[in-house]
Order: sequence, then C-alpha cells, then structure tokens
Amino acid sequence: MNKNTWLMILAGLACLTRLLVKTFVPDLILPGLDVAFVCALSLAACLLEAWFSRKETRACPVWDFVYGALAFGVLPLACGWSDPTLAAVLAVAGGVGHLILSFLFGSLRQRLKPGSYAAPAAAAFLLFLAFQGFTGFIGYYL
Amino acid sequence: MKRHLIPAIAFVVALCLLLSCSAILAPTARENEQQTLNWLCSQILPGGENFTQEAYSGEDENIVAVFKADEGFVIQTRVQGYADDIVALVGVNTDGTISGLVVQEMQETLGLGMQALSSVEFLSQFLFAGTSFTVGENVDALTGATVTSKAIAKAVNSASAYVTGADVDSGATQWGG
Repeated sequence: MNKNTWLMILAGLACLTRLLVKTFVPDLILPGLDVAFVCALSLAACLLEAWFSRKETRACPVWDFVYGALAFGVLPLACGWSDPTLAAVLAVAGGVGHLILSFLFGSLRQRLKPGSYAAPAAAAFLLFLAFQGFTGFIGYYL
Repeated sequence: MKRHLIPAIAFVVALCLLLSCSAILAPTARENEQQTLNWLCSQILPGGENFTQEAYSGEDENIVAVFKADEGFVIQTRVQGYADDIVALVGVNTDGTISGLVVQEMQETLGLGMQALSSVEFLSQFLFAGTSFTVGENVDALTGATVTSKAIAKAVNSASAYVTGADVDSGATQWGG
C-alpha cells in the first residue's frame, strides 16, 4: 500500500477513535486538530509505506495534496470534529503539509539503507520535531 | 491507475464508516454529554439540583451558557487562552463567590498551561475568595503559564459578574504577563 492509502486508514482510525471517545467519555480532553496532528499522521503514513512497501512509489505531488486535503479536511468534518470553516482551512493546510512532508521524507528515504526499520523511524521522528519547532517559530512571529 | 484507485477506495470507505457511526452514535453522545454536564454542575455547585438553562442576552462575549439552580448558577465560559480557547464551567453562589470551577476543554502547553486542569493549588485560589480576581494581585499565576492563568481569571470574573451585575472588562488577554 502506498502512503496515501495508509494516510486514509490512519486518519479514519483517528477520527473514529475521537468519535467513540467523545460519545462514551465526553469529558475527556483530547488533542486538537492542529499542525502536530497533520505532521504525525502524514509522517506515520510515510513511515508505514517505508516499512511495508517492497518498492518506493513514484511521487506525485498533486495526488499527495489532494489526498492530504481529503484526509484532514473531509474526514474530521464527517465525524463532527470540525466545522466547515475549519475543514476548509485544514484541507489546505493538510494538503500542503502532507505534500511537503512526503517530499522531505522521500528525499531522506532515498539515502537510507533499504529494508531498515530504525532509520526511517528516526528520520520521521526528527522531521516531526523539526516541524514542531518550525510551527512554533512561525506562530511566535505571527 | 491502481495506485490512485486504492487510496480513493480507502477514503470512501472511511468516509462512509464515519458518517454512519456519527449518525448512529449521535443520540447516545447527546445523552452522555447531558449527563456529564448535569454531574459536573452538581459537583461545582454543591447542593445544586434541577439546573435549568437560561437564555443569555448580555454583552459579555466570554459567557456561553447559563444554568440556574436554587443555590446559584453554573456558567459556561469560553475565553482565549495561549494556544486555543479555554472552556470552563464556573459555579457561582448567589452572593457572587465561586463555589467550584472545572476546565472542560483546553489545548494549552503540556506541563505549563495544561496544569490549569488539575492544579489544586491554582484553582483553589478562586474558591470562596471574593468576586474579582487579578493575576499578580490576589491570584498567583501558574509558573510559565501567565496567559493561561489570566484567561482562567477572566473566565471566573465574567461568571461572577453575571451574578453580581458588576462591569467586566472584556478586553483581550494580555500576552507576556
């Protein structure tokens, strides 16, 4: 399976989990829909593709953006996690985020030993930390 | 073609699953949410029973909902915190003093602002301690979370002012202490 399929599965599971938790334990505070959520799911999808795909799929930025927009804009709206305005913002941000992270992780993956498990995981983790720092930097100045 | 078909199928399956689960679970979610709200209200306004929601038509933008009981009010507030809005329930006695306080939703910084959820030392400063609170004067802020602390104080002030009828400065939370 390619990373976009994994992204749909992970986003669907995350939304379903939130739906179930909010139904049966409504007072539990859960992580919000933000850049960290987009980064985490996108990198997890890339990592799962690196671990379980026999060969690296050819990158297609347009489809990466489209599937990122669908996963982060439409699925949370379907489970009641966001409203239409937030869904539109997340669709754009999620699409761009997934596109950038896919490109960066793909670039790193090309330089890693094929078949390795730890190296892609470490690369994904470091990318996540880098994006966290970057968004904090942007948030401070905005 | 297959490379793009499989993610599309995964998306459609996920979407259908979420929509159907959302529709099926909606009545249960509403019922559980109401039960939780009733329980929280009874906890933060001890002795309070039979809460009835009152329409709020005031100008304080921090007040979301008002629940009235014989012993006082429980007021749901939404204020801008450091990272996102903070939603809190504030129990207010008829004399304007605070009987209880619980944060329902927040997305503040882990280890700093998030302590407002559970810090007894911080939250207890508001209980039965007057009707007006100012961080730095009669309220000690959470270490490293001044903005969050001020937001909580602002929520409490709005709730108390609803009962006492005092004027409330509803200006934006000041950054940086």
